[in-house]
Amino acid sequence: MHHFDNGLEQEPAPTLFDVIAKVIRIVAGSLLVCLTLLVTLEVVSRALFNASFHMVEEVTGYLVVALTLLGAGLSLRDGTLFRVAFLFDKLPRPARAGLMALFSLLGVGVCGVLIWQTCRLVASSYARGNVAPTVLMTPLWIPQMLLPFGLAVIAVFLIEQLWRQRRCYGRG
Amino acid sequence: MESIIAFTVLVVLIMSGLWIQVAVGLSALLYLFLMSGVAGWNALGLVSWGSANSFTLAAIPLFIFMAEILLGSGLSDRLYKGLAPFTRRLPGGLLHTNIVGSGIFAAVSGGSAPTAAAMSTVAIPALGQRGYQKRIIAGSLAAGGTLGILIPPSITMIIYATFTETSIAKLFAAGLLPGLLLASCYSLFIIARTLKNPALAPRDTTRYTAQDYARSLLDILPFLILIVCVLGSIYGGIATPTEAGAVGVVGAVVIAAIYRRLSIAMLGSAVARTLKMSGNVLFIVFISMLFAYATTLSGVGDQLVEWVSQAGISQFQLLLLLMLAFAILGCFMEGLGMIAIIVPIIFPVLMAMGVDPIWFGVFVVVLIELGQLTPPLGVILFVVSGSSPDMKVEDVVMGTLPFFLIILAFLLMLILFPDIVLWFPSLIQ
Repeated sequence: MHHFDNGLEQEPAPTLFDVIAKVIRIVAGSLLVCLTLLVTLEVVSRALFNASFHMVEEVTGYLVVALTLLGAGLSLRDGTLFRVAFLFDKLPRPARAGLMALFSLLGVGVCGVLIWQTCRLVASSYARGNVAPTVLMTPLWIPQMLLPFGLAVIAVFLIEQLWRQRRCYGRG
Repeated sequence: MESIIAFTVLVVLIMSGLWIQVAVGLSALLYLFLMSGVAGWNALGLVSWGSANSFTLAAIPLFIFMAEILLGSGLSDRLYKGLAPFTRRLPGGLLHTNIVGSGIFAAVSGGSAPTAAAMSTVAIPALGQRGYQKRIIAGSLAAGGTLGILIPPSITMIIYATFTETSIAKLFAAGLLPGLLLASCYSLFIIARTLKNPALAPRDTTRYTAQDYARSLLDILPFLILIVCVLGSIYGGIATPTEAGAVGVVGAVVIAAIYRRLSIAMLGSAVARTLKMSGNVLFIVFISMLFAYATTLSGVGDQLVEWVSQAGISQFQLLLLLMLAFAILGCFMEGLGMIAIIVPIIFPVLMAMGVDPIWFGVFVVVLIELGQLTPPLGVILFVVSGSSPDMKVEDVVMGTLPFFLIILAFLLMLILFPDIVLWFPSLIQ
């Protein structure tokens, strides 16, 4: 885990990305609190009233999907996403900046392929009318939308990095 | 051939400094592409959904959240103050506070870096002031930190369980005794070392009254109760690890309220840190599942089984080979990624050789601990040295060396006496 240094000076962040990050933080934070309360309620109701909600397991799974991708996006933006930087840090500044731009592009590429594939999944679930094998019988395409959405959030933050670097180069 | 290319690319990408998750994702895409072209990616949507949509993995953010709230409510300080009167009479004095404190913190937190960080921030200044030798302070803190992933709850074990479909409750039970034993080995070493050279740890001559002891006990009692509730409910089969994690979060909030540290700001920053940390970990798991899908398709695991049986390697030799492989890989791969990438590949071999999956889970966790103490990647070394401006990484490395050897000996002990691991889980249905 290394704090990330893209080889460029820190820039004041562009507002649009800041707003997106803030919204994501609030949404993901609320989901984390919901997750805690939901699972706790299930434990309490089972212990005290011997009754289960029968949907906690399903909804928890959906919340984990959201927390995985939104949390990763926030971690990326914060510069705390895991990387092994001991060699990278030894490179001269311009090389680091160039590599960082390449990394962001590669990241966008990986997200792109996964967004494409998860969109295909959503479309196929929708077309076939697949529902979750649970009491809620949730149409699966709805929670599955979390996948392309979350991956897109990560891609947006990767693009932000590219954009910031371009601005730095633009200023010379 | 595809496997060799994919692995080489993975290692090169990770070494170049690319985010681990992107490196693993890119290698997984390449792996699938080499095997069946773009069509190889067709099942990725379904695989992604299957990997991310998991009730079990919800335990990870919940345990992280619990530890973050406890840290916000002043856990480190209280642990230190609460334990100091009890350990100061032992040869080595407050150094034992580092070990016992780490052990207790490990039982509320799922990771090693947080454990080492929690104790280091308080212990380095306090022990430094009292004239303890720097290296042994650092060594005891780094060694204590390794207990974080061995003593349950453990995020590393949850991830191992996810990839091997073993029971988390049994793994959590399996880690407990080895964790306590390893902590005792650390403490015994400190006693031996300071008896030989008392200058390393000056004796504390403060007089404590019975009231002081009672107050100290009160400092740690709420945490001990929480630990018993969380682990007890898992061992007793009353709650799943995810449920125990959620109850643990609520318990942590109650403790914060008792200590009058509960505030929106404290909870807000705990949420923010939890989101980033758990997103990071869960995303590794998610992406590594895609890689595991590719390795399963390639059949490299079965090829490995065949190769091992043809080579006539014994179980003991295989385990030694794995120790070596993990030691080398540990130089450039981070612990969680190592489990998520390597374990799915070697698991078929282990099963074919009759290695117990629960035992191997604990063995791997201890191997990962070693990696966390080895430069250049040793996370714990940097956490300890980063906790204080006058603690150099060199001091931490030198101080950690004897503890490293203890862990190495401990691994051999686990191979020779597997019951150390398997006895407690055998009591759980």
